[in-house]
Amino acid sequence: MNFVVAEGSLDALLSALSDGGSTRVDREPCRTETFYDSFDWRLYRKNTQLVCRRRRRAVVASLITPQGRLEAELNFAPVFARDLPPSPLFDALGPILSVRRLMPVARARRRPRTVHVLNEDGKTVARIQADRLEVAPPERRVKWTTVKPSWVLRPLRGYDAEAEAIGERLARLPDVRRDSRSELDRLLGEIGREAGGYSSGFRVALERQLPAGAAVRRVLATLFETMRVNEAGTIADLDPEFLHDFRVAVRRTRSCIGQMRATLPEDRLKPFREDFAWLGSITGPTRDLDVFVLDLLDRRTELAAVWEPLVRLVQRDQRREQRKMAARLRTERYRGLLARWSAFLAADPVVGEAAESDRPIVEAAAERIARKYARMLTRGAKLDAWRATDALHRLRIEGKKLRYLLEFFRGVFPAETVGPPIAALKRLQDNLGELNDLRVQQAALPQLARRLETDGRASADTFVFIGRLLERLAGRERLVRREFSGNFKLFASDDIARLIR
Amino acid sequence: MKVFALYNLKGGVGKTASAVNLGWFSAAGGFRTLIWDLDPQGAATFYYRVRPELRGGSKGLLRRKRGLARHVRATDYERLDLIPADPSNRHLDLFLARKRRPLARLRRLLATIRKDYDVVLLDCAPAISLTSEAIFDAVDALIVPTIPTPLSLRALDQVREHLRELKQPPTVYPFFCMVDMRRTLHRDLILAHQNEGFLASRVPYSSRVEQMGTRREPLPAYAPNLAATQVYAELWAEILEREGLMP
Repeated sequence: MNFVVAEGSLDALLSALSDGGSTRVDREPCRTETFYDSFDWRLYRKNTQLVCRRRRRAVVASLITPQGRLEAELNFAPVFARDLPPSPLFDALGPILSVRRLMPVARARRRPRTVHVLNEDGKTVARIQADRLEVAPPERRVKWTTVKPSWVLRPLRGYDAEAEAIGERLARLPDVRRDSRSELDRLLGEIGREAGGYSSGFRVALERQLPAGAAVRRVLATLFETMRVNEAGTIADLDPEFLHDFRVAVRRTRSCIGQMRATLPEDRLKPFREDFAWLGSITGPTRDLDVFVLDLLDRRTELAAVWEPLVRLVQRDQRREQRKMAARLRTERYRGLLARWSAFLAADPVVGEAAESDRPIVEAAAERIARKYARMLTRGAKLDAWRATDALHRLRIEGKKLRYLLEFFRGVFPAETVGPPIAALKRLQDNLGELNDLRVQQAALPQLARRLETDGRASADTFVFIGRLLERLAGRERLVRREFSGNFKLFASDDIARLIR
Repeated sequence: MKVFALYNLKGGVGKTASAVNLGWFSAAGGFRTLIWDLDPQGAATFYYRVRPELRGGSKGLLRRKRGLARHVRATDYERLDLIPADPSNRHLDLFLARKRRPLARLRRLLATIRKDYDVVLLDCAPAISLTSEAIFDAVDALIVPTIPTPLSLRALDQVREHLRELKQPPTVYPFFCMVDMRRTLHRDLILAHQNEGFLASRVPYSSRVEQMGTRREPLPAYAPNLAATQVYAELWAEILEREGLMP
């Protein structure tokens, strides 16, 4: 429970509490803290804050979760969860952050003042944080802003009733109002920023009767925005998710242009089709290597000593491809594409510019989705999962297109109609996606082995390991192929088919 | 989640003082820590100023379906919680005996809070009973405070002998406590027995430790620089190292 107070003097707080028992105040010296989160606000969305401060040469990292506070002393400010030593902090951060980089989101200068509310036994039954705070953006050399005084009531486990009573008493005071925002929200508010701005999920508001031409432009504009916000992180290689989200936005754009071509003016669209295909192709190799590196990083413990040369080789390749890609994202061709695409999306649609541009989006989208689904059923029913590889790959591509359509236009259909097909399709796609990754890695490993041999840097153990890894990948592939038929059956079931029709 | 029991067949050897202080160091080191006061005397509960009462008494405590979490009280220290004792804990054996699979009961109760804590310390009553059997089943290790006197060492032998009968006995970490090296008896007995698996840290006798009862605070909160306090810190570090836990 947070309370914002107009006159935040500690005396006012203490006198308000005085008739309910005794209090004790702890004061600590001023300290500078940095708040961290990932680009897509993963911690914030989990109601969690990571705050770091310096203590002598070390960095004290505190993770404040709804369940409590975890603290660890580190030798460096945390960047990736995987760099943390094994600790409760690592256990808590790892699953939330996954591969995302931690970035500073705000700095605060805090003079901590904690009021302990005590019962007759002298036991603390609630704490009130009445810290003095100043805040600044994470960038260096910017001015500090004084934060409006506030009291934060922290209930203690097993003493909820006491905290509630104190909360009610404070809320009755003049010049005090309850504030449900978290501390980070309040700090960011003071410097004119907002948490939770970016999310990698696709969401766009569309009205059912909106002309298809305008609706599709709105979808494309949202995707363009995603590309733009991930661009800097992709070029700087901050973490692999920037490129991933960037590529997904490009792929979705291409898919949308292709699927919904009847709603857009074909002659103006043609050059963009080639440009986006180019963008997909220049970012592909880096993404493949990112996936490979991440996979190897996951296997660090299991591979121990032999892991080193392999991962270094793949990392070197990744860096080379990354540099190449970054250079291309700085070229005139790319800049020109951005400018022309932005102009296309900003221009108002002309009535009758394409065959279906004026149809209500709900009709155009439903028809497109039903057709794509029918096509997948025909393709999937024919293939033999034990032998077919190219056909499975093609089915996966079709599946992606269908998934995108469902996601683009989910807003115009009732949630209960779109939810189950998306879920069934996701299962099928995960299955097909894993098969694809396994094929790519099985093809890449023998080549890597040959390069390691030529370099003469790897020991025999490394090759034994690569052999074992290949065996395991092949075993996993058999399992994944076996799972295909069950997933496809669910996807093709009457329940799903009825919803789509 | 690692579960330790402060246990000894003999009373007055410093189990509660050790549970209270080791719990403090565990929490201060970054572990989410729970002290569970199973001793009907409720001294650990008293030291942490928590009222000795449980919802539904110890009978209610044993109900697995409702879990342990509802009995937990925060202490005055960050990350350190406590399940208080209750006068009815003296009938714990009786209530336990009425349960199906009584020996597994505490372990299964602890499983209900395994995601909430990294370390649990059980402060046990001095006895070999159904409850202590259930404790042996639930814990990763027993931490056994032992005064360097013949009776206390004999009690440790009895515990070890009893554990030998178990299929999967917990690890035993005995350590010397309330040590007064001015006494010949203490010196001689430590010399004679120190190689019998005792931890290296020896908690010295100190009247400041006894003041925990009047101050109702753990030792590090009011005497952080006392030799005994430092030894408790070292003792905890030693246990962490043996258990492969990283703070």
